[in-house]
Amino acid sequence: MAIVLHSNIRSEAVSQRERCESACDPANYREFVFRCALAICGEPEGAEDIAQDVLLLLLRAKRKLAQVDSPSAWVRKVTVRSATRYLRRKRHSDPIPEGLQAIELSPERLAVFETLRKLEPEQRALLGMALNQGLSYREIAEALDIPEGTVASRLNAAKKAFQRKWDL
Amino acid sequence: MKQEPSLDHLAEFYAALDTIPTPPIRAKRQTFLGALSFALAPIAAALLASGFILFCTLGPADSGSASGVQIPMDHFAIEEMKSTAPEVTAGTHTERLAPLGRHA
Repeated sequence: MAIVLHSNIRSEAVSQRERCESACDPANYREFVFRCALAICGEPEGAEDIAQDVLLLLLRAKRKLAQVDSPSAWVRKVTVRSATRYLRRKRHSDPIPEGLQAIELSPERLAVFETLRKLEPEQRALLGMALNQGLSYREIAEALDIPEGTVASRLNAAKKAFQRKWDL
Repeated sequence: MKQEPSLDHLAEFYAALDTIPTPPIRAKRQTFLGALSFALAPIAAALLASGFILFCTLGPADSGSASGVQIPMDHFAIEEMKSTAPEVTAGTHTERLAPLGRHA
C-alpha cells in the first residue's frame, strides 16, 4: 500500500516537473509569441524580430518564467511590451513591408494597414488582442497592465480612432 | 450587431494575417547601420586598443605643468593674473600658475 502511494506521489511529481519544464521552455512559445506580435504590429518581418527578441529574453529569464503563476500570461505581457516598443520606433513613412505580399495585398487590406499605422501603439495592441486574438478584457488588462474597467473604454476609443483615420 | 465597414475590413485583414505561417527561429534581421556597426566594431576596438597602448607608452601630452596634468583655471584667477601681470594671455596662464601651485 505504502509502495503504491509512494509511487503515485513520485509519478505526480515527475509529471508536474515535466509540465513545468514544458511551460518554461522558450521554444514552446515560438508560435504563441509570433502570433501575438503579428496581431499587434501587423507585419510579418516585425513580428519575427519581436519574436526573436522575446524568445531570447525568455531564454535569459528561464528562472523567472518558472516562478510566475501563469507563464503564458507573462510571455504575452513581455511580447506586448516588446511589440509596442517596436511600433514606437516605426515611422508612418516607412515602406510597406515585403512580408505583407504573402497575404495578397488588396487595396482594402492596404488601406487597413495604412490606417493601423496611424494609430497609437497601445491602440494597435488593443485592437490586435481583442479582434484578432479574441482575448478577454481580463487578459488584455493583464497584458497591458491597466485596470480591467479601462480596457473597454480604451478599446472603444481605439475602434473610433481607427474609423476616424480610415475616413481621412 | 452590425459592424462599421472599416471594422469589417479590419477583421478581414486580421483573418488574412492568420494565414501567414509561423517562421522558424532565425537570427534577427540586420539593418544597414546595424551591419555596418557590426563590421566596424573590430576595427574600432583595434584602434582604441592601439591608442591606449600608445598612450601608456608615450604618456600624456605635455600640458606645460610639472605634473603633466592641465587643470583649467577659474575666471577669477585669470583676472587676478591679468591685473598683476598684464602680459599674461589666455594661453600662458596655466604654464605660469602651475609651478606656483595655484591651480587647485
